[in-house]
Amino acid sequence: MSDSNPALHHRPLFLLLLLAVLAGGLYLGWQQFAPPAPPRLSDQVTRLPQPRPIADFALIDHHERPFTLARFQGQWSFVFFGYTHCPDVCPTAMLDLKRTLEAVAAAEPAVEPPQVVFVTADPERDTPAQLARFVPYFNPDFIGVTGPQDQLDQLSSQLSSLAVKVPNPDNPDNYLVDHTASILLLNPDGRLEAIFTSPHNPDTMAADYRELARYFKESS
Amino acid sequence: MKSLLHSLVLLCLLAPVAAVQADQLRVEDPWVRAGPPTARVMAGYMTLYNSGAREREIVRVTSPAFARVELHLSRIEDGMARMIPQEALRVPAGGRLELTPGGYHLMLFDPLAPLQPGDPVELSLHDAAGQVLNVRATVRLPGGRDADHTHHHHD
Repeated sequence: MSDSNPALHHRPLFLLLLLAVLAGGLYLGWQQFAPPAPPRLSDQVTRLPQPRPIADFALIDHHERPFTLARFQGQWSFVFFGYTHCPDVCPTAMLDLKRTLEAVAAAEPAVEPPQVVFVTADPERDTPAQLARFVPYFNPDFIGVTGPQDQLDQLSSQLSSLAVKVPNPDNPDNYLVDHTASILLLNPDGRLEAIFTSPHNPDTMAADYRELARYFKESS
Repeated sequence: MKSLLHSLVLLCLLAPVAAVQADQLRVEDPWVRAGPPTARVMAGYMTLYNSGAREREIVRVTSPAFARVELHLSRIEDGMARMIPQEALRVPAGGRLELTPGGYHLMLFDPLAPLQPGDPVELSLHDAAGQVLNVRATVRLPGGRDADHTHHHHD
């Protein structure tokens, strides 16, 4: 018993189309209004509940150009406080950051690369020229920062970082500096977003950075 | 075979006690972290094995490639990276001591000439009894994707 009415014949197809359009509409509407999935992070990183604003400061980079809060705005920044006369921990951190950037660049989908800023914990020895001999060795784009002690203190205290000079009585010119081991991440608003505690794993840091960058972009 | 064994036994008997002691301390994978050509400080790493029945103490290290060598331990305490100068590096009897990034290391001051990856560095490890163990370390980057790749950049 075949149906002779063509309209009836096409009804299932019509209903299917209608359902598809409805589903598509619902999906687009949900995309528009649903909050982005929160970042899935490793236990190597602590994300601040509220990104911490930072007051302006006046420092200089290893090219002797001004380095102020504006240099942290408009891009992500990894920040590490160290010193160039540090043979073990600081070169390790710099190499970890170099490898983190390589891992960020290698993964899909593409996210914007962060800048890397090495702020000296030892302005007495770390002149811009000395920073220029150390920082770009790891990556030509890395930036070394120094300046007056009070300005360095202002920045480091806002980033919960410390530097303490340790005299070396046997070898006074070669004093040591105790410094915060964490690597800090500032978001493109120039606010402290997350803290990466030591030891650092480049692949883990890269994955965490990509998640934070994705979430920031989807939330803004 | 028997005569070979014989001469071996004889050799061991004739060898001075000091040499036997020195032989009980052995070093594996000695290396110096590659750094900028202008670096005034570098770090040396290795694993020390002590097959003897007594703890061995390295109290001093010298190198013709550096003005000065100190024994250090890097430690993270309360989130602070600290370097703690050591009087001695102690290698337990029948055990080992690892000198490794972020832990025990040799702090090498003022290289007499810039060092490139692949360059050898002679190190003399002096123990508390006055024994000297000579080690040849190689300059390289720590393991990883770019361990044998160096980066030259001129600003």
